[in-house]
Amino acid sequence: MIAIEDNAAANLLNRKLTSGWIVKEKIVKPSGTTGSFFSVCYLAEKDEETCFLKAFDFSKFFQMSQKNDPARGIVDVMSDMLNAFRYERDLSNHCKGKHVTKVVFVRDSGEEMVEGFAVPLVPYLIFDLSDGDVRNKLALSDKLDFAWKLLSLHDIAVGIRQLHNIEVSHQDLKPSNILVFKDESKLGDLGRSLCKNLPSPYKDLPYTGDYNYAPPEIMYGFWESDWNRRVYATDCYLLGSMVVFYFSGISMSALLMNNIPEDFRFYNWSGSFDEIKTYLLDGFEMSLNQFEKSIENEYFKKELRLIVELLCFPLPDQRGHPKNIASIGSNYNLERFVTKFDLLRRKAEYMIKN
Amino acid sequence: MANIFEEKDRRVIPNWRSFKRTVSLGELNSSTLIKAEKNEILFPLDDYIFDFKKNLSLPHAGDLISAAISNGIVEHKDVINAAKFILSKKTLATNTQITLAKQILFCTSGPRDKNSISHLTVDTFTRVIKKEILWKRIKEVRQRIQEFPYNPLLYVELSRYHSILGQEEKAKNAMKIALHLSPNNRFILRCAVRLFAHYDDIEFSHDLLRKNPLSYNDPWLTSAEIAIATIRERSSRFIKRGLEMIDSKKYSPFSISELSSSIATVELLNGNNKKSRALFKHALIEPNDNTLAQVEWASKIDGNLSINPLTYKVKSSFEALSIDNFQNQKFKEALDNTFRWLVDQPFTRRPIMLGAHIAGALLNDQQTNREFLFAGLISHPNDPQIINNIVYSFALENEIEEAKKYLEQIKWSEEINEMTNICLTATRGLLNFRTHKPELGRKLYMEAIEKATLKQNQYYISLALLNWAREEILNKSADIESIMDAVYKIPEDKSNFDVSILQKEVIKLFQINNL
Repeated sequence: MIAIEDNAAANLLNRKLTSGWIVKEKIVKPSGTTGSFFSVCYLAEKDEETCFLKAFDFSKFFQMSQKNDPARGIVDVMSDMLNAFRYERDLSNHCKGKHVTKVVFVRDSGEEMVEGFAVPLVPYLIFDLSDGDVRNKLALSDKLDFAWKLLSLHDIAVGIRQLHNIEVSHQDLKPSNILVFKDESKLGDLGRSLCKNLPSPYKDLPYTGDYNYAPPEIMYGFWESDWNRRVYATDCYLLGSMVVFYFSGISMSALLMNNIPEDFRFYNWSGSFDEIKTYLLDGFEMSLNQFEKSIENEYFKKELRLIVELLCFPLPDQRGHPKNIASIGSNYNLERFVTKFDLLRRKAEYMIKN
Repeated sequence: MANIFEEKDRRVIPNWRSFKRTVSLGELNSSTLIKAEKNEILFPLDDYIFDFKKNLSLPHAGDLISAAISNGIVEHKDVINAAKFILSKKTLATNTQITLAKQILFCTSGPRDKNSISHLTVDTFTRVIKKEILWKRIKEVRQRIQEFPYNPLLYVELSRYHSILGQEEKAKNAMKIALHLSPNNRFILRCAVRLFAHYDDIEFSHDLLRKNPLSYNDPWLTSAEIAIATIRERSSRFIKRGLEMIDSKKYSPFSISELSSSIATVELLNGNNKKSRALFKHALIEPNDNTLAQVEWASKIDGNLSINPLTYKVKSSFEALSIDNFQNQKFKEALDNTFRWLVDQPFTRRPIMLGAHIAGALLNDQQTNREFLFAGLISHPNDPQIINNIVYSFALENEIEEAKKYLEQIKWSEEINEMTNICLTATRGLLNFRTHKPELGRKLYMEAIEKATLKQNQYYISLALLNWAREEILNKSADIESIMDAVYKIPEDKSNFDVSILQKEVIKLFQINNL
């Protein structure tokens, strides 16, 4: 039996790693890097540059494994951990050099042996250090102007579209995974992303992201068997949910659940997704009305409501831009939304200047 | 003379309320006994709690309450703290954050139900029943439809408002759009069935269910199909399937309550009282308001089915309570419950006629009588029976101009049923007496009595005679003795309390005038 305290990953502080990085500071569950349940995070320095280090924590993998399947042995759990490490690293490398600019890549990676522990191996990944996640940015400026929010949403939409172009779906888009670097926003945590061309440890899961942000079809146990339709529909919803969060401070899933009668919420529902559709549409319509009330400017109110309506439509087959749905190709192509965010951002800037 | 409330044949046609109220009654829950098990913590909130505590900012608080609401775990102390934090920063928080924070704090301090229908009394009539409220609601729903035309429930709601205003075509059109958008939804199908049955489009109503595959598996629809087939005088092919459902023990007693009472009604009408009783007994394990009202109705045919609706803790059982109060001569309670029944289902005619009858004929409260009738004219404009009763009520209080104004609204060119015609003849007799034309009044009362005699309707004969006698006494007519002889000879009618009440009043009036 391995004790949770018996934790090599938690003991990297002040070490000089074989890759040359010096581990300077332990971050107690830092903001801006969720998905950190399976890892311990540090600040690490090399060549006078400070970066973010994510050390994979075997004890956490083991703890989760014991909870889900007590029969799994140490070798299996070790394999799980290495697969997760390898996948995140390889996916990052897969995206590099393919015109993907709005994603936080793995700068460096390695494996460290920390003696004195039952499992001394600690794989780690090094990332650029951000200014924090978008929640910090939103909190710093109470009256953050529309232009910045729209610029950030534009960056996110571009990032998602860039990933889609190389058949990668982020799957875990949420405020804590939007990292801010000065004025630029980037997508963090590719660890839960799916790539059509890379074998993923999560390939059998219908949804790999944070269930608190999951689209309604996933919540109600329905998913498309077609990979493209399923994962891109999910990203569309998550992007729409970000728009809702930026302007109302609440996620779309929360609004939706809040506007559905208690007995019909996914945790009480024993019927099928088909049976819930009518009630989801009702809840969605009320959620849009509620969202709208958080925006004062009439022009932006209508435009953003429409964007959210198209991106978060609760029935996945009707999600996306109507012109995409009507034409050949993917419903979930984000090009039109990228353009729209850019246009809205320019209008907002123009309004500020005038 | 006013028409009475006639307790006609009753079938288990679904009741139609707003979506919100229907949900609260549990009629849209899963029918099977398998319930989704709620996990302790569905998806962990730890990250969100940690981030909120560390940063104490509005976005982090919003993120935490979002996760909590998505999971349905809003009672968590850190979530409550986040909600309080949002409210402490009201000037900076968004409207949505404030609304949800308040909801979290409100829910945790327990629900309140001050405005529920069951607390309404008849003295709030004019405040609650208003055309203007409906117009406003229609405008609101139309605006919402314009913004988001894909929500079928909005069309159902629109249809309901139009039906309350008696706008048949608009109500039907809106419902057809709802059916087009969502053809296989229990709520929409049940509402549609009720609407089309309400407008006597039984065939369309029946086809909606007969041809829908859901009717085979959903007891709430199977029951409605059986009820509609009975009205259509057809034998339902779902009766066998319905009995299988009841016997299967796969469905919750509440879900099959309407189904059991629907089949029980068929058995009762076929004279199989034993089978009917067994099925009604089954229906009463966990009844809804419709079942309770059905049993209350059936108890008049089969005395063994007599129940006290109060012993069943059923929400919105206003119909059953009204009828029960009425039959037990608790008229004040009956009036309040009839009012609640009307507010609950404002497009229906039966609470209007019952409420008006209790207020006008049994409690001599003409003001409330007319309030019911005016409400009736909203959903049933130009209904000759309702107009007759309004004219009668105004004439009794010598408000002749008002009475005449309403009498002019009668569309004589349209078909008027024979009973209403008898009443209208007698009411015109009353109006002539009150406008000092006793000869014509007398002639009309005699005509009404003749028509009622031809129909062999003792109740209407008695009512016309008593009304005529009262007018002759008030007119101090010479030839009153012969009419009073007939008044004294009116046979006792235990089922119609209004006759004996009016008889006593007329005799008393005669005695006072002869002193």
